[in-house]
Amino acid sequence: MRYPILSRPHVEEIAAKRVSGIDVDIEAEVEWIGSGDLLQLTTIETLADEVRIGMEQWTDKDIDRYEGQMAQKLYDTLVHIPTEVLDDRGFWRYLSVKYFWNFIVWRQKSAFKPEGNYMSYVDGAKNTETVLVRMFIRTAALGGKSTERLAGGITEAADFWRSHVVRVQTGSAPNIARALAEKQYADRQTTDPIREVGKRLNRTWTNIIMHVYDESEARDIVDEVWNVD
Amino acid sequence: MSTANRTIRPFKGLTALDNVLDTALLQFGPDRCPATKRIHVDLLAHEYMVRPVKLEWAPDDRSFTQFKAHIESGLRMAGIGAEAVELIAIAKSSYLKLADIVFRHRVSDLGSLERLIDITKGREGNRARALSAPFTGFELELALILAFHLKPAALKPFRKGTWLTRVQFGVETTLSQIVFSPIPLTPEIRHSLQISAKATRYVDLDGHDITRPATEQDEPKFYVDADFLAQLNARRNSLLSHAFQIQLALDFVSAIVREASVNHDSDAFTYEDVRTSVLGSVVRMLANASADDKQHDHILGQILNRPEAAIANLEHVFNVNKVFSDALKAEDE
Repeated sequence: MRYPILSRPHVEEIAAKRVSGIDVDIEAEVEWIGSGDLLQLTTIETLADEVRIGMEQWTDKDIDRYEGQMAQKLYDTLVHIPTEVLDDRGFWRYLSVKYFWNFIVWRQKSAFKPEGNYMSYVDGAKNTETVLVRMFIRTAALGGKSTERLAGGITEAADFWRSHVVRVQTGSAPNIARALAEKQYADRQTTDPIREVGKRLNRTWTNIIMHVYDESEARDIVDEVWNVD
Repeated sequence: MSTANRTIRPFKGLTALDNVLDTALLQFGPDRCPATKRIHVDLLAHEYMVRPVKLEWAPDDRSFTQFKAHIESGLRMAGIGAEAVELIAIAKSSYLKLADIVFRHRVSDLGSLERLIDITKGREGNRARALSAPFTGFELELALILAFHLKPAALKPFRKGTWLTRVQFGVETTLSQIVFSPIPLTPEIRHSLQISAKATRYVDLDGHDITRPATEQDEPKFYVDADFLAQLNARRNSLLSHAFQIQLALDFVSAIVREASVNHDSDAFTYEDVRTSVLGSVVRMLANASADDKQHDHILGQILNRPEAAIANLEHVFNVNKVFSDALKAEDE
């Protein structure tokens, strides 16, 4: 498949200009790589419009919930793209700069100033930071289907998703991630208690390969690490 | 391996199974990766995508028979029935958090196990997703695990999924990279870490084992005061900012060196053992590009035995003297 990418230095240059208020045309910097069919970008463009409109109408100060609600739509739009394309950081940089820039700026507003750490949200380097990548993984971690209630329903949950799902093994085991998110949804824990739960779950991973657990077994093990007095 | 930082497992009676999977070999196209090792491939994405992935349990029929017998006798010594155990292989790719079970086989049916198996395909018949990430590479975890819950007994594994023995293989590509960057240290994080209000830097390993593959774990976190970091970013092209950035990088790497020397025996590893870990990255940082494994082993020995000398040598690598001098001269102009 032929698909568009942007190099990191180009994105660094583009982003620096944009945060300084200078509008730039990115097309000259876009490179199409791979072979075969051209990746169709129409659905991505449509989604970007939808995300932007929804963002403009969002009034809740908890904007991580909006990120979570849009995560399912992003996942549905991108999941059919071959894995080798989604594994390419350059593709995520392209999507971030070309289609979702305004949304990402809105989501991470404090970083988007000349001295800010804005690159980490668009450069594709870290799956816990790059906004689009972490959204995609949030949904994938929950199994990829009907995730809005959990992905966008837990209040003030940015750290929960980042530290206890996307960054750790749990993020690669949908039954475990879903069971954990269900608990946090039903019985929301603040930073320190959920950190302890996360530590207990991570310790469990060191002895048990929980990828083999079905939904019921996953709920049982999460209940166990949740309910330690 | 070190005894100081090893995962503590609350089980007895499994030692007979310890090395049972060590004869396994991962085949990635024409490249071969022995158990517990990692290989590095220099491929274009489309070349990576067509490579078959296979597991060979033993190098020949005779050793394959021994391999199966070893599993059976090890389980007997552990007091665990073969019907309760399965052989499993999980392919993982860290960037997209992909994990695919690419092989499962009941140990009670070892007779039907073939010596060489193809694990390229996933459940839907296409190439497994975790094997389709050419910019990240993959890990393969091979293990004997409990297939179902057993009756709980003291010091005996009983939970489904508990591994009795396991080995890992890694395939990394020239396209992959490990990135570390400072995280803003805010009042909330200071409170959570229980460090004082004016603390500027903090390296938080948070359970990261610096000797194990870096891509399989949370990254070590390097916190830097949020305002200070913003000032550095704002002046990122100035010589003074550059000097501070070099010092921060040195602080972070020095913390890794000290962690290695404090928590690990002086002859704990060879370079090959830690090649894909954070510690392996530090060794390479200190080595010439053309260094061979013997030279890497020597540098690793210095890190473990003379950490302050290794840190001094890092100053050479980072060109600290010149960077600092240039920054001071620029201040005078």
